Amino acid sequence: MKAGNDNGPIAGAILFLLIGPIIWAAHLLLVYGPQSALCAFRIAGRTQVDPWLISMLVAGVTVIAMAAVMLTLWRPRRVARIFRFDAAANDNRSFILSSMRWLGVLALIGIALAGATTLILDPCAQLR
Amino acid sequence: MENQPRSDLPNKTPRPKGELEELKRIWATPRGWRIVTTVNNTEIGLLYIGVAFLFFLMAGVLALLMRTQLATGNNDFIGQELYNQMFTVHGTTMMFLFAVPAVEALGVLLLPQMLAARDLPFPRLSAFAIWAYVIGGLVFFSTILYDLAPDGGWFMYPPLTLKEYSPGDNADFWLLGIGFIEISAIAGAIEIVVGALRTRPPGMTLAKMPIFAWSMLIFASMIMFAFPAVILATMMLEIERSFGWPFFTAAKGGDSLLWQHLFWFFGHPEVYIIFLPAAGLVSMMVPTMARTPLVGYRLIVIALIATGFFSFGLWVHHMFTTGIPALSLAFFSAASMAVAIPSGIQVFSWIATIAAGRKKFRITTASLFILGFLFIFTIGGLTGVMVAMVPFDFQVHDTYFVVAHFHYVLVGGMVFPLFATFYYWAPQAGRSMLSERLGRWVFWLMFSGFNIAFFPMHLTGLRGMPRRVWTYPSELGWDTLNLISTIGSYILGAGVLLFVIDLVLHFRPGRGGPENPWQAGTLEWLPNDVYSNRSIPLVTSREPLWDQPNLADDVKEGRYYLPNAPTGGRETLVTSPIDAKPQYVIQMPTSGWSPLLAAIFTAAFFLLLTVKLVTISIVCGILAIAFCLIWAWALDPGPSKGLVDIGGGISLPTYVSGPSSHSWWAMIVLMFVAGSLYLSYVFSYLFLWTVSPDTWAPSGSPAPPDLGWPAAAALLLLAGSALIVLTERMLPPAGTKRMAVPIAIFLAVACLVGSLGVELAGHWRTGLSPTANAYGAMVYMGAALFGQLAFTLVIFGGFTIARHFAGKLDRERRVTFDNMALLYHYTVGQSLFGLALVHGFPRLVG
Repeated sequence: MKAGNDNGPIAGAILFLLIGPIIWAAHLLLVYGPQSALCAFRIAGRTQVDPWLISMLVAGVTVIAMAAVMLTLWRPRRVARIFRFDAAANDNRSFILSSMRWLGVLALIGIALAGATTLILDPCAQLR
Repeated sequence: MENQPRSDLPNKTPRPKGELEELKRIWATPRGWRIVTTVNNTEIGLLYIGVAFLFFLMAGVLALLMRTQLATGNNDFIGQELYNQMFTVHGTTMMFLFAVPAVEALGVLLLPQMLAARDLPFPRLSAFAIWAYVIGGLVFFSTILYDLAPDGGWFMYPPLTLKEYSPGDNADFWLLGIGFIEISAIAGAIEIVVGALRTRPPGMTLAKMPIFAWSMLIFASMIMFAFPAVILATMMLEIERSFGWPFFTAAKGGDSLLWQHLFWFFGHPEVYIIFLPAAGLVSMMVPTMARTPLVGYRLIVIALIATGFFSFGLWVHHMFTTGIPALSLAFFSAASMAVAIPSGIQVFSWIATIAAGRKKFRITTASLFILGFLFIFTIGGLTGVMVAMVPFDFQVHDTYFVVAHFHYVLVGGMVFPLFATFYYWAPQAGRSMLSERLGRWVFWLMFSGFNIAFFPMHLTGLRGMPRRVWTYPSELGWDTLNLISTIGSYILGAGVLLFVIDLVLHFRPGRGGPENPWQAGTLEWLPNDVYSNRSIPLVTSREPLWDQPNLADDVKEGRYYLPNAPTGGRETLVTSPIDAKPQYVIQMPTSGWSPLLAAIFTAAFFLLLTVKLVTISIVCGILAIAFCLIWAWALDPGPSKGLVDIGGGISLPTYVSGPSSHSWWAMIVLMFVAGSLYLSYVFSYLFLWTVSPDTWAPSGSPAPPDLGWPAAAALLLLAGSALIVLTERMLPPAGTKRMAVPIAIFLAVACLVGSLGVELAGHWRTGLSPTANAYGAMVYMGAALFGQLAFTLVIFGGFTIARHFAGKLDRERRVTFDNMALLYHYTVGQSLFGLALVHGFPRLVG
């Protein structure tokens, strides 16, 4: 027999649980990718993007990512509804909720640490 | 928690006469030489861990020979070429043939017991993975004996490993041999992901899952996303070596740094892939020895998830000295320090658990290895934070400081917990315990030997001694430290030798070992036999054996779920992934030759390709596919067994297709692997464009074909998908056939092949050659990845058609079709994206 899709909760639970780290990964992708590409082009003389703009890009993405994580920490139930997550057992629900919050806090630290570097470093400086 | 009254338990006793004997007959281990056909997790898990340990010993012998060479300056005990082969084979073996397989083996061996499952859901897949690893691994290692071993380091950096600098077949053994073993690791990972999520006992919600199961789930998920990157890298390097497609040749727009990015995107998570299961094992043993529940269970789960996830954002910290801009390095330096937080959480949780026990922490051999692990791993973690700082890393990069650091992390973080595991869980696989008296000697020899060997390397490195040198001048002041390291390595070796003696004297594989000798609280210590547990318990807490004192007896007497074999064959219970509610009963395959023969011929295909015996290699490849098909033929048993009673008034189906079935889940996991591999390709394409846009179309290469070509390819793909959707609606009622079904499947597969042909022809007509430059190589590599999936679907489609003609495919019995349809739609999605990238991107930037 073909059973219906009763696995919705697991996909929703994984996305809900990992929303903080997913935002952290998106942040890393969005700061590292454009910054390294723009710097590579700049060094090769193929673009004249102002380094200040690259720093602002990194700072901007960092602020947005931190705001997004804080929003998920502040309104986790709304996030749960978006992902249609609703674990039936109570211990599961509180377990996944608190895990999601702690993972969000760790992601926030990771994003803040990475983003803060743009305040002190020239975006395209080489160390040799 | 109080025991449930006997009358409330799912099944009544006494159980019917002959029920237990039937279980024993169904799950019996094949006798004599037929033992090689076994698929039972206990037997193949033991083989798996045994062979992994053999590789540990052999790579350890290489290490001792290298240390002998380095004991004094200007030594010529081993020549330079052999030394280069030795450190390459040592590192490769320890990482690919020992560490990952050892923890995967423990997953296969222990996970079903911890989950009270009869077996993991795909026993033949496990058997295939293990035999492939055994055969491929032994052939790879043996290359050191006849001067054919790779010598480019375990990371095989190009340009050193390109054909012009590494002629001969040595590097190809690494690329094809290890690439193939990674496929075996992925097969094991699929088994573990589906096993941990779907074969838990009723009541074992995610919040009650044993920490080892959590760690194995995260381990396997990490393999799914990390290994594809290095598989793509090895494919590209082998293609460049064999056919001259210049992915890594700077003169043609390639870049050797692309290899480093792909390799370390796998290589850094690999460290945590090795460490996390070991941490999971420690989290299981510490509460038993402290005789108290684990302090901070939730925090440990969070730490495992966070470490696993964040480890993917650290890869560039292996590339600090490659000329990447400072700010980029800072992102990864920050992430490297951030990952110390979750690692620290675990260490503090273990210390808190040891401190929290009302009774004194039991000092056994296993405990000693755990305490040794805490000491060594913490030092490795601290030096890890040091090398995460860019300026410090610049100073110690490629010196013995780094050698010391990663041995502290890997030996401390994995080998010591593994030895603790051997002493703690020996009764799970053998009839007796290992010797506690000898064990203490083993520990102290290994602990002292390790520190004597590796601590001085921090100093040797700070004094400037580079890694991977076969000798050094005596006047540099490194002699004494190196001599101390060599003495330490021999003490460490003596400890391992003593362990082998302990094994020979005391370990007897088989069943009937002492029941729960440590008074542990988790399910692997329930009484078990060849069929695992007599019945599958209802779990109500994280330490059920502590909280339900009669549980062992009730399980043994068959008072819980599925105390019999209602379908007459091997089976286990499938539960829902979050709440662990019973869903259906899997009918599992029994022992058979096909996984073994498929593994032998798959290994032969790869290894013969390495030595350029192409024709016989292709014959072996065809045989491997044939045996895989024979094996797959029995995997879709159909719904003929109907509903079965598992006890407690619960009747479950014995056959399920669609999103709830375990095979659907396996296909989804496989698609994640394929998706991850393709994302690595997309990264490579964009990376090489940033490095050498001057080779990109339309200015540096022939312009992409007219849009009519990709449009035609896309239309064929969409038509194929539509045909598959249509076929699903046309599936005939049970017991009947409908000719439209095989015709539609044939046409859908033809659409796919046609689309690939159109894509290739379009580029070929423009004059683009894969050997011309990096752009051409990347364009045709995209088509090669499409071709790989199309080839799989040609076989899968033919198999599905054959099942239709055999009367084994209809509206009810449809698992084969569902899986083919899933892979088909995935292929169409990936290929449409690929068409947009390859045809759209050059137009966008051109």
